[in-house]
Amino acid sequence: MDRREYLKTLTAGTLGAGLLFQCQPEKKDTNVTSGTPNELSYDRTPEELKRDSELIAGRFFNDHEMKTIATLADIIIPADEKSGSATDAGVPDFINFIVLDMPHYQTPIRGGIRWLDLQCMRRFNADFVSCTHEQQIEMVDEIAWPEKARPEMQQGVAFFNIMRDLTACGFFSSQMGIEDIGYMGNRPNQWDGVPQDVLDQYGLSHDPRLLDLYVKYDT
Amino acid sequence: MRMPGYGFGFGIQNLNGKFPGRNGEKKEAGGYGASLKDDYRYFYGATFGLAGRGEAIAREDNYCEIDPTTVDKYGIPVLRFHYKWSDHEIKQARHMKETFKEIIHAMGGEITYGAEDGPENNYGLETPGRIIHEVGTTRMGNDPKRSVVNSYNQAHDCKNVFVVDGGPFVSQADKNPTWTILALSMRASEYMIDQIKKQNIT
Repeated sequence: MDRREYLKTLTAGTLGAGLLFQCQPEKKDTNVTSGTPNELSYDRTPEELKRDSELIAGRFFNDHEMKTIATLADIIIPADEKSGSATDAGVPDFINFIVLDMPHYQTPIRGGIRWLDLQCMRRFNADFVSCTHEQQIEMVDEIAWPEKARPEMQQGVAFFNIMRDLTACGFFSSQMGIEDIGYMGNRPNQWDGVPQDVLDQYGLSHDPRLLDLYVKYDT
Repeated sequence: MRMPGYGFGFGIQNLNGKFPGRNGEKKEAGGYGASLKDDYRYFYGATFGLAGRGEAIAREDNYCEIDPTTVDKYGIPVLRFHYKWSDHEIKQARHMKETFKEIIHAMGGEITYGAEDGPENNYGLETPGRIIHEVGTTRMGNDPKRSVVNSYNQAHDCKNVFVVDGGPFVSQADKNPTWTILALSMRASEYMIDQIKKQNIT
């Protein structure tokens, strides 16, 4: 799906990416949505729809890897009073989709999971998902804070940064996440006619027959 | 505010350790959990960016020529470009930077990126050719010795050749060239019809 709007990731620098109409080499366009093939049928050519369906039906990670991704995702974005957790929003499936769509993620994530399991085996004699929650947090604390992580943990830091990025964008681009963050999108104005107090001021009223016909909104 | 999509929230570890959060205090960069989740909400829509585009002025010593030693994969010689920024472009970039800073300060914002540009890197001006539209090389002009086409996009050397793409541009405008190409083409077409009727060109 290399097309559509030029995309620059939201780093500290957030350049006004949408402003760049001019040609800039070596940038890839990316537009990714998660969901079922039916949901993706909007604005897709048959070829695109075929590829989307293949990606969604496809599976890259094994069960153990999916379980590890789900555990990490919920540590990164847990449920709180405002919205559900990363897995509630379907983040593990989203990450599986992304690595099929963008294969450059495959090795770093698969390798990162192995690295994590190995570290946990050494410390706790169990792989990451088999550890207790406290042990998992102890391990995550070693790799979740890039500026204070120990040098020997840098591999894990790189992995966790990827997991944090993909979990966040998977979560906040889901319906649950979009509602959480309050993205409104473009909405048409609604005009309900002359306000009642103004009508009262001039002793006027709407014609009730026309009111039903012309001043009516579905939402 | 952008609709959250792929790339949303990437690199939050470069952001959430640098600036005070909701409670006015800085915290450790990166992290996870409820506090991180709230950071995404807190920083969403809080960033603002500007990128500048200016006009590269027409300069005779900026030119391209056929490279005598390099060919492409079809064996066709490639172009070799000689292009340098003049003071004019560098001053435009400096002016843009200063204006951006003023705007951001007036908005009550804090500059997080790009403020370090200065004379040593031409105020962030990109290398020539980095962000471009491909225009020029068959430049328009009245003097056949110094230009390829006349003001009707007609070649000085050959009356029935018209160049109606971006070639006749003498400078790199700060805007997309398509509308100007269309306008020039329309003028060239009208001229062509007129000249054919007068049997000046065949």
